[in-house]
Amino acid sequence: MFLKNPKLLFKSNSFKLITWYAVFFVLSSMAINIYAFTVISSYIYEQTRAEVEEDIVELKEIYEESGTEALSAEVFEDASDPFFVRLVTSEGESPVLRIPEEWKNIGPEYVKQNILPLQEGWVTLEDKMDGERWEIRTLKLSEGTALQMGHTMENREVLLSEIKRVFLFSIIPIVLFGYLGGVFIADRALSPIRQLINTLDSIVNNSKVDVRVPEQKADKLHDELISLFNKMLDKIETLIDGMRDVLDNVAHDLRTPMTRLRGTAEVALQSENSENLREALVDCMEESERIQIMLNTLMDVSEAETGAMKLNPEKINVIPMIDEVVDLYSYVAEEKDISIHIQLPDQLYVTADGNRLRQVLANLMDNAIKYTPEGGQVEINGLQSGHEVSITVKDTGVGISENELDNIWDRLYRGDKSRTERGLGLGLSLVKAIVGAHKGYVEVLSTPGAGSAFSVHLPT
Amino acid sequence: MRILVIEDDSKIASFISNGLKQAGFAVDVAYDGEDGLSLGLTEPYDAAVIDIMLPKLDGLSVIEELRSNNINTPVIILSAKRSVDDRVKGLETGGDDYLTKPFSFSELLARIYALMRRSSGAAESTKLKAGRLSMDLLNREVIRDDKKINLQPREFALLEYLMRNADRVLSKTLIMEHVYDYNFDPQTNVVDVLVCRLRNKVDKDFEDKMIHTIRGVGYVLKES
Repeated sequence: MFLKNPKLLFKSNSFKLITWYAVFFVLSSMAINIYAFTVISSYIYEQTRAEVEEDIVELKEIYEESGTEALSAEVFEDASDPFFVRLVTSEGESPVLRIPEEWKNIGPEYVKQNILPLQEGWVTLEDKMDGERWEIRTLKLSEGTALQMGHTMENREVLLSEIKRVFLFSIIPIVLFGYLGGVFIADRALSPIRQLINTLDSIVNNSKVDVRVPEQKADKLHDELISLFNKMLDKIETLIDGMRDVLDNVAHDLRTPMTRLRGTAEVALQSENSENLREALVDCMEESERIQIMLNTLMDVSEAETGAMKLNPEKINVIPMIDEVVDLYSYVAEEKDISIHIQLPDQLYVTADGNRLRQVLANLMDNAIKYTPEGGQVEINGLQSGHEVSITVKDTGVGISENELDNIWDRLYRGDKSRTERGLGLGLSLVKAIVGAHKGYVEVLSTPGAGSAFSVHLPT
Repeated sequence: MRILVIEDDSKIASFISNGLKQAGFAVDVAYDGEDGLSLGLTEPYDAAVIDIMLPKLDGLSVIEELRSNNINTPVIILSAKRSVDDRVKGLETGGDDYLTKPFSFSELLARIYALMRRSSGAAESTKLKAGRLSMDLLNREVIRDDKKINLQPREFALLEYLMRNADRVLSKTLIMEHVYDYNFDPQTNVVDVLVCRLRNKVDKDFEDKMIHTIRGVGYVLKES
């Protein structure tokens, strides 16, 4: 259902990813901002108190050393500074009182009632009219007197609100960055999927089988996905190509015998002689049999080559199988006065499909007997080395010339010297294809005029 | 003897039914699976030839249905598929033999005879006779006109097969299968050579030839 519109699926996935990333990014940036603000404001607050503390200690020393007059002189020296100082005696009198200009609504009475010198420590006074905050320190002196001093927080609060403003404005770029980052991340994360989709799209809609997803060295998981996907495409392509080849080959290879069949029938139909008719029918039968065998063999070769052949591999002793094949050809060999020599160990196990292996051996034997002249000999050797079993069928035939060696395994290839022999030219390609399907390989050694040795190597 | 043929291709159906009629059988032909099944369920047959790919109901289902109704008529399956798996599947479903298209009629006929002989359960005779040729299966002795003929094992097996099917044409494929137990199309004339050797021993010294070649079809042993 959603495959019909893969882009929509991709979009919704990518949208989710972007949103998640942006939300996460914005929230964490805000958290950092808030934390930074708290730290800065508490630092400023501490800073203010430290200044007050420093000043009050200085005033205390002046008072203790030089008395009330000196303190008063010191306090009123600079009238413009906004700070508050009060000296309170044990009777509640205030011999020194400096009320800053900012305290327009706060008179000495208010101060007397509200800023009580009851104990040492800090008091925060907030001006109800303009919201200005003052930090006030009370310091107990000897004989019940107390010294009080306060600074305004105003300047610092202006700074803090400035910081707050900057932080608030920074939310806009943060959201923007979060979104852009989300888009970037989503793009990176989903790009392999998008590439998969694009590739699939061109395969499904344009029937292109040779497209592959470009590999990138970004992420192990993605690489794995892409390389698996490409491998799957490779396999499909091999199969499709294989089938196309099979069709082409079958069509091509069948045309010749079909033409013969048709021609024979055509000539026969124009003939009056019943003996000729009979001959023609016999030819037709023989030709159709050849077509049937050729079709079967071609299918086998193609299936084996493309990996479509079903194999039931099992551990098999090839010795009895070779004996069987030798038995099958013994009369033919006798007829041609060919002697068959066998040199085999008692046991020789391979992992193979029994029926297919039999086909391989019979074809090798068939080939050897066919191309060995009268009075010649065929030799069968088998041996195991490591995890490999080699079976060699050697003949004393005409041999194969150097430039033909590479072609003899090809489908329908028949050497110049073998054209007169009856055969389809499919035997060796079938051998090679089946052995290949078993993950083995074939080999041929030949001396023109002296004979050839065909070997198949199979895994044990 | 009555045989049911279920085959949708009318040309193949008629060449099978004509051939069987000529061989002396009564033949009923059905062109699709449903008709074939209803015939098979109602009429008694000695054998059936059933194609796998059929309209309405496929051949394997027909066989399954017949077997589940306890009808054990021997069945030969016809199929265009030649893989081992298909063959095994056909035989597991209840088919008794499997023949791949294209096939020769003589081969079909030989297989029908073999099936009917098997299902009739007649005791295997230990002596075979064809004209003046006789074969003792226990002593593995062959005698023609009181003259003993020495045969090697494969030659003996071929002669036995020909005598059991006297007057019937046997294809090279059938001979390969029976004498060598080999399912293979050799490019060398293995069967021709074997027949030639047998002929040298059985016919050469006698006036009447018994083993005949039907070119393009196969070989036949004629009783007279």
